[in-house]
Amino acid sequence: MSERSSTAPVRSTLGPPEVEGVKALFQRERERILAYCTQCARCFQVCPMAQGDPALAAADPQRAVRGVIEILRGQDGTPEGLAWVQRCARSGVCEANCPEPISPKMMLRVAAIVALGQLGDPPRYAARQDPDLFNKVHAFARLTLTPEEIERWTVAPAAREPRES
Amino acid sequence: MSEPVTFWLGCNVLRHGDVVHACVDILRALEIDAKVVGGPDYCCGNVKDANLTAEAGMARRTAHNLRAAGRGQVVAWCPSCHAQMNDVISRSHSTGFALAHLVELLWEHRGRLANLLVREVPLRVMLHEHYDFDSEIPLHAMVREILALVPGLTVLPGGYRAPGYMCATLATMPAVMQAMCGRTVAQARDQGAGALVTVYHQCHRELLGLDADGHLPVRNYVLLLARSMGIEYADEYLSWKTAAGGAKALLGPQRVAAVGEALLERALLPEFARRPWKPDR
Repeated sequence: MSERSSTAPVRSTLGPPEVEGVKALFQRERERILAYCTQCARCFQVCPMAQGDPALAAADPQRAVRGVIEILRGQDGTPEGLAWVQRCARSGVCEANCPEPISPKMMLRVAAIVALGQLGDPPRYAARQDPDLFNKVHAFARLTLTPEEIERWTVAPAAREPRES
Repeated sequence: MSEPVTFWLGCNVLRHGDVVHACVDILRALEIDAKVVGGPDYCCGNVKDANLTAEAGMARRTAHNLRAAGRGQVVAWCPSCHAQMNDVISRSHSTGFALAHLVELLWEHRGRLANLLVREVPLRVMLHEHYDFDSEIPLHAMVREILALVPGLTVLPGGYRAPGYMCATLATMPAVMQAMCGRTVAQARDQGAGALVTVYHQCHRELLGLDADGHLPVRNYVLLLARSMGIEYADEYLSWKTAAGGAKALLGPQRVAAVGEALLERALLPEFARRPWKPDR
C-alpha cells in the first residue's frame, strides 16, 4: 500500500529559480558540496551500483569518496572515485543516508559533469554521445503518430514562428 | 472535468505509439483535459550532461514551452523528465506550473479509474521495479495499487528491486543489465508470473528483448489498463524487436521511406537487434 493518504495532493509545487541557468546551478552545487561533504562515505557504502561491482565493492569507501571530492576540486581524483562517478545510475539510495544538507546523487552527477570538462576543467574521460538521438525520436514519431498528432503534439508554438534573420 | 493539465510525454516514449495513445485514451475517459506535448521541442536535456551548452539550451526552451502551454499543472510521463524538472530546470528557470507524474494522477483518480476497468485481464504479473526516482513519490507502490484494480489481474509480490531508477541507465553497462535480467527472469519463473509489467518506456524498450526471445512476456501497465477498459493496442515495438533485422520488411517500403533507409540501417535496426540478456552467458 502507498504511504500517501488518499487526500494528499499529487502535485509538487515548483519553487522560484535559485540561480539563472543550468551551468550556474551545477557550479553552485559544486561549491555547496565541497563546503558541506565530510567524506563519511555512507553514500558509497549503501550504493547498489558500487556494491554490485566486485572491484568497487572491495574499494576503500573513504578513498572512493575522496576521489569524487578531488574531481570536484578540479584535481584528477582516485581511480575508485572516477569509476564510481561513471557507474552512477541515480538509484538515489544515498540521499536518505547522507547526514549533511547535500544530495550525494547530485554530487556524483556534478563530478561527472566536471570530469567531462563541462565546467571549465580539463576532461578526465569522454562520454559516448548518440549522434542520432533526436533523429531516432523524429523517426519513431513518423512511425507511431499521425501527421496531425506530430504537428499538434510535438511542434511547440514558438517553433512555428519564423525566426528573425 | 478536472483542472486542465499539460501531459508532457518527453522524447523517447514516441517509440511506443501504443503507450502514448493508451495514455491519451485513459485521460480522456477520466475526463481530464490534457494538452499533449512531447518530442525534441520539449526535451528536458537530462541525457546531455556531456554537453552542458546543449543541456542549458534545452532546459531554457522547455521551461519556456511548458510555461507557454498555459496550464497550471504539468503531468510528466517520463521519470527522467520529472527528475530533471525538479532537480535542475525549475531551480534555474521560472516555471509557473506544478509538476506531477502520470502515475500520481492515475492514483489520485483511482476511484473513477476502477469504474472504467470492466474487462477481465486474467494474468499473474510481476512488476519490474527500480528505486523510485523521487523519494517523495512511492511510485511503484502506487502502480501496484492501480494494477490491483484490474479485474482478473494478480500482482505477485516480486521483491527484487533493480539498481538505478530505470533501465536506460543500465543499458550502457551490459554486465549490470545481464545480472539484472537474470535475477528478474528467475524470480518471475519462481513466482509463476505470466508476464513482467513495466512502468517506464525506457525499461519497456530494453526488456521487450526478453519477450522477443521467448524468455518472458513483457507488458506495459498502461496497456493492461487500456485492455481492461476495452481498448486493445498491439505493441508494435515488440513486433519490430522480435523481427530484429527483419523489421525492415515488416515496416514495408512506405514507412521505410518515411524514416529514411540510411537512418533505419544505421540506428533503428541495431536497436531492434539488441538484447538485454543472454541466458547462457
